[in-house]
Amino acid sequence: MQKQQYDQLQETVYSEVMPNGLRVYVLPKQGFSKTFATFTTDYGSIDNAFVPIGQKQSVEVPDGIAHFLEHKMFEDEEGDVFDTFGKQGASANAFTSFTRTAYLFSSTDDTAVNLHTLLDFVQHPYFTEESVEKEKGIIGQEISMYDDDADWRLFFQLLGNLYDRHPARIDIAGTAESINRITKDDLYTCYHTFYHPSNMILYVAGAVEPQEIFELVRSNQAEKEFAPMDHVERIEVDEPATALHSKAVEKMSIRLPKVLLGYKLSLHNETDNLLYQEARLELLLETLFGEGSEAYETLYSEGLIDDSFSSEAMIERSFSLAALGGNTPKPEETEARLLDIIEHAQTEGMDEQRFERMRKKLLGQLVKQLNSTEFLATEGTRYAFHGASVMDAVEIMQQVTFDDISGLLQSEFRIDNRTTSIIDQKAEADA
Amino acid sequence: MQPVTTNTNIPVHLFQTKQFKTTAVIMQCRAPLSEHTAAGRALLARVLKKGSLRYPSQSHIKEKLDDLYGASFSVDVGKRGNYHVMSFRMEFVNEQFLPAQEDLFAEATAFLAEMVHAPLAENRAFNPKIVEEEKRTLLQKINTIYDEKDRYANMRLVQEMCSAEAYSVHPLGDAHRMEALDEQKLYDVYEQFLAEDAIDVYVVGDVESYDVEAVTGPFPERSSLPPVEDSAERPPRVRYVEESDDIHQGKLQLGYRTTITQDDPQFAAMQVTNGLFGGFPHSKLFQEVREKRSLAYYAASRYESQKGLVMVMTGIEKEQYEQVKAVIGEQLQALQQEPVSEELLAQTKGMLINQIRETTDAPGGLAALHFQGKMAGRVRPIETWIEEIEQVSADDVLACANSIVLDTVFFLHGKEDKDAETTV
Repeated sequence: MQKQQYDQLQETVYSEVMPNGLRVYVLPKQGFSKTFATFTTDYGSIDNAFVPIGQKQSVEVPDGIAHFLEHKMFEDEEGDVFDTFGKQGASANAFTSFTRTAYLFSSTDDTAVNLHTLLDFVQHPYFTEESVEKEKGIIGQEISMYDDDADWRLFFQLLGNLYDRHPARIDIAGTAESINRITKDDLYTCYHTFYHPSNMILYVAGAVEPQEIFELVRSNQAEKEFAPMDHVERIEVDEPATALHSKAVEKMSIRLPKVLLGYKLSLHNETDNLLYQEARLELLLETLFGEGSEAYETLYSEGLIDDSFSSEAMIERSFSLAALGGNTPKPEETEARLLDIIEHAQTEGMDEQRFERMRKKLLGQLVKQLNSTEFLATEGTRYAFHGASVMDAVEIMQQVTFDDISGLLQSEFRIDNRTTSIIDQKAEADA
Repeated sequence: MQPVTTNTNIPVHLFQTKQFKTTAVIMQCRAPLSEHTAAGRALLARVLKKGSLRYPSQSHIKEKLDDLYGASFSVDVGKRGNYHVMSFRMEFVNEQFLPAQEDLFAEATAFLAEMVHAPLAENRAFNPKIVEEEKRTLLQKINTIYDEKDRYANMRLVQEMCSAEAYSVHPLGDAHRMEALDEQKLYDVYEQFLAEDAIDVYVVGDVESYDVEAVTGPFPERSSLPPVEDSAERPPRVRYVEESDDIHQGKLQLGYRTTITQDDPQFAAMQVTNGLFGGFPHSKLFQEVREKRSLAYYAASRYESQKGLVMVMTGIEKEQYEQVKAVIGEQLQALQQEPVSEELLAQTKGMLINQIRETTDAPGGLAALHFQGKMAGRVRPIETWIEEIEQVSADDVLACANSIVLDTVFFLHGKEDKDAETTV
């Protein structure tokens, strides 16, 4: 068991790697009633081409399968795992992102029992033809729900504009057509390749005693056997650095249009300091477009944006992007104005004092989030997959310099890697 | 955990705890919910948030908040039963976790008092530019409820179901009354808020002593709010309302009434009953509609305990409307006729207790639980509440389920034919 102390933040993180490769982290929180635990695999919707464990040939699996697998994990011979957690007074959940699938529970009692349940159900796949067919109806409705969600459509239209071949362009849940092709055997192939302990992290934050947790996990894992594994071989696509389309407009039954500007970045290539790149990008976006910035306040007072306006920095395993936008009565005009602001900042420079204030603001937000066991476990896992600790975030944020963000603005915000996504209202929307 | 309350003109409730890295100060201001005042109060909340004499613009405000290490400050309005609640919230980092020597508590509370008591106004009128901008934003927000189909369906359900009751009023008010407001009329709304709202202030964090006056600011003496009249009327038969829109998934919402509200001795039993009906993954709705029949991705119920409503929501294929409606009806019927198993009962209680305990792990959660009780006229200490839940029996659930009566069904669905207009 390793122990890492963070004096300023008054937190201690304990960690250990199990003999089978599973990485375990424990962050005890004094005074909390709740314990929050996540069990996460480094596997998400973009991992659709890979060499299965024990094989030589690569395969391509149907879109949406990581998410489908997440749904199916909750069922075993006994029935429904939600139910087991429920009987033990815990609430369970799961989510799938581009690069991760996470299973989690929170409880205020019986943490040990619930932790066994979490480890056991995720490490015990059980799929039947029948249950796979039944799930297609449920996920079909989930996809249908997102088809009517204008903000979701706005973002995925942006990704479809940016990426030509990279699977980030595909909806996380897949399509009605792709999920219909999923079979029980596909699920087992993905499961055995990506749910190997060496590809996973367990993170426990809350009202716990670290020693007890490690002992529990050691004995739990010692009872299970896994085939040896080196590393997962994913098939990378050759994706150009430029955007596929510069613009796309979709019409939906809404009353206020939406615009989102996006840049396809190369920051994910800086593999040894991704978290630094992320902090740098966040600080740049906050400085230029955050609330209180000249850009935000001017566009707001002109009625071009409202408080739905926001920016997002996204740096994942094999892609990275920046996006900004929101609701607007005039999508084309708002797009033009945002581009002007970026161009103006590139030629005239940015406000260094504002940059320092944004650093202070983001630092405060980080410390505030340390109140939340959800945040600690999910972000703790994300940092750990990048070989860092969530507690390092404070220090990383302090390393970014004004020259750094100015350089980023010059190098990554170009015309050829830019796109615009618009959701406009259908003509008959008022009918 | 119970707060220490200072019973001055404005009560201040202090939850002193070392649990959090931040301190939260929350000012809850409530007035009876009414169509005549909702739009004005919604606009007031936004205008107060946008400027004061000392911080006349958003840039000044943000600069101050950033200097307080990213303190957050928000003002918004919401509906809690028959009350319209305006909430001022500040949360800031406790300076012991920062390389800072400032007294952040004193600075943050002074900022809050400034925003409430010294707004950007002269000659009994707010700044006209800010009023116009915020009116525009709110009109847009009212207009775009339509763009989020679940929210829209729920608003329409409540409008139809409670058409003769205050509860049908949306917390942002209506576009018509919003249009009619200006900087002078809004000042009248402000003065009424200062003089009449029932106000509770919460302080949560590692705070030992503080100056009450400095935290609340100078509110005039006030009398207590008159009790809210509620004229809930059950219709002679169930109302069915349908609308069509150019969408993929149908949104089905069912509105039920119950006589059991938060001040009722059966409140905890009603919470358990709702949990069994559609509150959790093991509930009847989730199991029967989703898991067994694959008819939906979500199917849940929500208990509005201040008002005495149970609302069911699900997203389905249009063609399966009759089937889903029937399945939902059967689930309630089962709860009304057969005693629930001890196992399910225990599971539901465990989940509810877990939820309540979890809420106390966030600074805002401790304050919210206390405030809910205060509004209902009965504050239950957390441990009492949990005990009440533990004592709920299968018979209690049977009785509660039989208090639930279907009132209105609202269904928003796709159009028959994409090219033809259909009116229902």
